[in-house]
Amino acid sequence: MKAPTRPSAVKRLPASNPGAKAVTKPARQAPPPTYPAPSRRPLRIFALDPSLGASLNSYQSQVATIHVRNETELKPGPVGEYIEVVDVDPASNRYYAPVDLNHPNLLMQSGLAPSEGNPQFHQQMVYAVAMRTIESFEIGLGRKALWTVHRPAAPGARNVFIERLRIYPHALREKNAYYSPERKALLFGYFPAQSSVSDLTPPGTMVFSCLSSDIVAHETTHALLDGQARAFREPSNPDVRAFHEGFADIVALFQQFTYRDLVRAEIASNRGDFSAHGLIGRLAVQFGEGTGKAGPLRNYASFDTALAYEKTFTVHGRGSLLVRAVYSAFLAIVERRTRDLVRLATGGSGVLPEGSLHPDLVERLADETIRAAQHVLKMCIRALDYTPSVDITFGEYLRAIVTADIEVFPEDASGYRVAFMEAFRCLRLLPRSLRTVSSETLAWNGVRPAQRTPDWLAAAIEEMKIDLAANYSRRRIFDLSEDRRWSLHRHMLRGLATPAEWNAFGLEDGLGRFDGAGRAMTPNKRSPRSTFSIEDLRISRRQLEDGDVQTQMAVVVRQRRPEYVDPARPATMFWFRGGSRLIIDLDNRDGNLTPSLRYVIRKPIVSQTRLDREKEFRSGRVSAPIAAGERDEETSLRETYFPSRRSGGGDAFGAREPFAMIHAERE
Amino acid sequence: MAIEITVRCYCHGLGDCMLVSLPRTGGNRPFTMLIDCGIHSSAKGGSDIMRAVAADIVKHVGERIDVIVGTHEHWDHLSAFTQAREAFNDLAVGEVWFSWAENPIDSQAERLDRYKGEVISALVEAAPRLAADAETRDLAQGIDGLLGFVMSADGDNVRTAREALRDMAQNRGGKDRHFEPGAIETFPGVAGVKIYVLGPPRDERLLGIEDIPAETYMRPAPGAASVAAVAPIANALRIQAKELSIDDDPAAPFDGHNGFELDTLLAGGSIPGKQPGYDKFLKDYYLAPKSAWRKIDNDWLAGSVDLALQLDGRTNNSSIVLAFELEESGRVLLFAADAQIGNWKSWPEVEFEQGPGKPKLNGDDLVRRTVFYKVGHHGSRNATWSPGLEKMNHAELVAFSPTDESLAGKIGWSDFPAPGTTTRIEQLTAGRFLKADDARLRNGTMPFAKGGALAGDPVVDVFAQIQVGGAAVNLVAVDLVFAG
Repeated sequence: MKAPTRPSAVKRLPASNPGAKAVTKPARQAPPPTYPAPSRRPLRIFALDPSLGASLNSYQSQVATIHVRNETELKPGPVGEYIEVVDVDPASNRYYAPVDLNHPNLLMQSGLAPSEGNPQFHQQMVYAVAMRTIESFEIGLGRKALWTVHRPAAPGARNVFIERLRIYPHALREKNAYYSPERKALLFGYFPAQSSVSDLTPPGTMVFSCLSSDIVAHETTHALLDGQARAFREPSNPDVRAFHEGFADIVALFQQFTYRDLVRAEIASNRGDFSAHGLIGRLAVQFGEGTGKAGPLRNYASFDTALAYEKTFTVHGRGSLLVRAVYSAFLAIVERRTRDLVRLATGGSGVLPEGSLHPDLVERLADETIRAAQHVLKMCIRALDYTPSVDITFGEYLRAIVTADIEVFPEDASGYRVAFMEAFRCLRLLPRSLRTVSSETLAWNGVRPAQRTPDWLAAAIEEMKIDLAANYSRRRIFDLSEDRRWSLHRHMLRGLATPAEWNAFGLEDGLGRFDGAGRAMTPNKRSPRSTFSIEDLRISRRQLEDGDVQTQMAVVVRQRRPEYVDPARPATMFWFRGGSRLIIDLDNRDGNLTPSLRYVIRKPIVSQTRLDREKEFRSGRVSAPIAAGERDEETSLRETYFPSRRSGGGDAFGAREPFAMIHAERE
Repeated sequence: MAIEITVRCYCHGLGDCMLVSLPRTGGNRPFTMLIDCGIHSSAKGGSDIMRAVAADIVKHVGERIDVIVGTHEHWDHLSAFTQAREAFNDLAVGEVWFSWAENPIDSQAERLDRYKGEVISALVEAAPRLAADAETRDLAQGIDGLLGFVMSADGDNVRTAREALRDMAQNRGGKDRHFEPGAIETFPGVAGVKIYVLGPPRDERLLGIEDIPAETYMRPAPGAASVAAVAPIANALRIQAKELSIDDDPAAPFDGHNGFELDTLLAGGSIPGKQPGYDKFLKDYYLAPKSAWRKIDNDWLAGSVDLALQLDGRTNNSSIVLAFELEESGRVLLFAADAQIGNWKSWPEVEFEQGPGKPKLNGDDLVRRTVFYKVGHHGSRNATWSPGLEKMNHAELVAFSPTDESLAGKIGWSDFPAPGTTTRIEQLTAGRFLKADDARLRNGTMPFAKGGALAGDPVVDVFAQIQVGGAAVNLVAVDLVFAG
């Protein structure tokens, strides 16, 4: 990597030597010093939505400087390795010139100063927050993040690698912001504030969703999650879409808790309440209160029982249950981490004298809070690799969190797992038919030793020629994983013999191919008797507690077949999907890569009960609002007049832009 | 003294029309009240149907009708007042009733009117633009379906129909009246019946009109929309048409000196006086041919869907809701028009004076005693608030829904009427639920017999046969008679 050197920026001062005579002949030039590129780039952002106005009542506490990974090749836009910010505003017929964050004047002052009236600052802010989010993801997953592929409409066309997510900071004139899977882009809206938005926002001011750091993090997370697995976007039960929303909120929330400036200011303003909720609760309440999003934790203090897993079916209501569960776990963890500090500072009484907190104490409390937030974020993200291949439920997500955590920390010494299990249990976000809530019952069952090393697996891995030491570019990772999917497919197809062996992976022997309309196709060379697909093949490396590096491959194996909500009406067709997620250990023993199946997380396609549940869900009977409030009214109106959203049909706007619809409803 | 009240329910399609008759003392001709008369603009042969319906109404009431109620400004409730203007020509009209929301000198109503006007003109412009793009064609279709509530197929605005109805009173010796929730009406010569007005509420939050400015001195720039909810889309459409500049648009994000004119650059033009290379970034990224699929030129227009839904909801919520109380038995006939949840929620708070020393009555008391419910908005999910419906647990309940499921399906609406609502009303009425699109009605067969609060067997009246699209169609009405 090359340091950004600009002649204008590296002008050196002449050596000062007052005693010496004026030098007439030029001194021998020393070789120009080289400056290593810094690893981080400081950038200023609005940590709190500026349109929220006076709730933290000064500009200073709204602004934070965050340090993002320094991309030395960053081009105007900003356009970097992961992101391109393109600032066109067709509704206003405007194109705003791109910001150049490598300009010396901006390098010297942590980027542009936060300003609502400067489009270039908006570009800087979406870049900074999105990059932070991507980094959290990569740390959690232990590998580079990829965006979901572009599937061109032309038949037979290859999947296209998407190098950069595009961000349009001023795309819409509405109280909305969404991730568009169709455009591989984030679209942010703006709108004039109405007095109804909040009494703090004077009417007539412009509210920009791209200036709300939690919205930017939320939308970026949608894009990252979509790149992680397509299945998260297939709404086969009421939890799936709620999971997408809730997870995006979780990442946005805990990212907020890693902005040191913000956390420090919040703790410093504390007067006497040293419970975790007292220390940071207000920040959580503010979260999501900004533009167009009902805060998922707004009623945290007075937890109303109106929201319950058994009877809340709106995407946001249900999603906020998940956020609430994770947040409760986080509070328990913070409590545990700060208890000793509070005891030390108060001589055991828990009561401090009147006045401000000691700055050292503020610093230490902020440290512990930020660490806890980072840890929770990591646990939540790491769990993604252990989720089922289709049809995720909150209970299964808890299983994934527990399993993933056991993998890295076999002993739950800090009680994190207990905190999560307790929080999920309180809200009843548990797997179906779970007898007791414990690590043992919640963790996925590992594969029995006798079945860990099927021959086809070893052959497939050998063919893949995996080089664990290589540091590949994201494009190369994508190309390799496309090839490796086919290697695995070939070997698995050859290797699975009996129906029982197919079933061990949640697959059905003899399930053929179907065309887009659900008609069975005759088997041929390209599509044999049994069809399945290998998706989302990813290799990650994680450092374990004992210093070892764990290398695992996560793969999704899936099948689909057409089913009908109402067999008499062909229009009610949907794809019923099943399969499994495989977690494969790649042990590097004496230079030989020996694969073994560690987990096979099955969602069998032959499951009749699951099919029945999905039919019930798709018929709309489950999700009908029970106590209809205004929000439900809006939802049902849209479903009535713009029903394409639920049909999942090919060309309908709602099917293409699911997040546009969901987010428009969240006011 | 027990009396009999007759509700003639026209089953002519997706639209409301009911004729209420009450006996007068002394053997005079009965008191008559027409509640709405319209059909959705997507219905085939709508004008012919409404002319036949109007002729039948005139045949029933004779020369004079006492009251016509226009519940709210929607085509499927008011269309006949222009479509069948001639049929009503010789009819004397005593009074025309509206809610306060249609009162031209009411400041809240004026704001609502301005809002409705601005949304409709924005939608009329946005829909064809959406239709022109294959990616958003289905949105245009949805918006057109909603516009069918406010416009005829030929582009006549529903306001024409509303004002035609107003004229029917003003030009024929009658008067137009506007009602507030809490009003109680009785009629000379009609004993034993009181009419209570339950809605629409004045509460701007319940109506959802809190974003419409009251001040008229803060006039926006010519061509710009004044209502905060409408301005972003409406003004953007003006900007596209070069009728409004950025600096005059309060919904624009930045001052005009920020940025460059996008359409000039998209068309390959250049902006004079700029340093070379100012548009290089745009060309390299946004205009790169291989990523043309990532362009967002029209994505903002999808926001007009929200406008269309909001307009529909707000207009429905401005429905006047009438409850007829048969005093002796306490039974209530509830005409909910298309009231949505905001309107329903306001009823428990509406209080009716019962004279000195007597406790006040509230809206909930009336809902609990309902024996006839005119189902809101053709049975769609948003117009029957389930907690409200659950209060109608009177054992004698009868319901009528002027709906047309097959037409709704053709327009592309789903769950219209909503199966959950239908099932629940079926249960609560023990099957005495009249649906206008019940196929048996066309042959003169009544789907259910006497029962509940009905005084006798309901009768299907095939009152006309007309040609619609080359096929003969029977037009029917059902007379429901309630005693109490």
